[in-house]
Amino acid sequence: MALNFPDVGENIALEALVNKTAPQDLVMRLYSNNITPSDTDVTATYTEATFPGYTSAPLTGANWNAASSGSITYGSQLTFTRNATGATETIYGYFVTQASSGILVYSERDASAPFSITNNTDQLRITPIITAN
Amino acid sequence: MNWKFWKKEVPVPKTEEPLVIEAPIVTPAVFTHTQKAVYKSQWRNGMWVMTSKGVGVIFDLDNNIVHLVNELGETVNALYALPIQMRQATLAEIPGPRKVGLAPERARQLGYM
Repeated sequence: MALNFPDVGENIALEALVNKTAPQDLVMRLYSNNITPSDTDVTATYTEATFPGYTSAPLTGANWNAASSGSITYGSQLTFTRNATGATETIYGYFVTQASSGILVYSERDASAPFSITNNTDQLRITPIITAN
Repeated sequence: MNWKFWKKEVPVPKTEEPLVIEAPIVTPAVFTHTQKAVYKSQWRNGMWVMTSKGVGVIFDLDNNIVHLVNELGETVNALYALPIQMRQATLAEIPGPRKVGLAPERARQLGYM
């Protein structure tokens, strides 16, 4: 599935585009509730992952590559690693929020979801890419 | 000697009235571009739709995949549905937990009449 910019995320992008509101660094977070991203989503729509060893991943502005052909890619792949075996947590995708405001910017459900994260060293890897369409 | 004096009438040329051309009053044209209010109606990923099997979200428009949801807005099934087989959902049809804080006017602009 293409990533989804909900209504609130579109507003953030528009205000940054015209320099009405300064942009912020983003944070990528995994979500564990069975949600398909939609127009009407907000941050509270998503339940963030809590498996042992999980932490959200900051996406700092300087680490994005230059945009090209309507697409921009983060400079490195992100890895979310579980560090202890235990109760399975099912991951469906990720959602990205602004670092300071916490407002939802965009999200994506993986077409292969769900992913069961159960054992020590189980990993989920994502390379953030945004393509304008 | 008789002097005869006569008065020669010397026509005095009339001073021509200056030619005055009144410039037509030109009212400057004023064009105002007014963008029409946008009510989203295009099929798009993330759009709420109503299908024959219930309400759902378009997951993959290119492959005609809709994710049906329950009353909590959680995905319960995937459905293959062509655009002709579905319509945009109304605001009332969107599950409550998935429209928190959505103002009716904004919902209308998103096409959820």
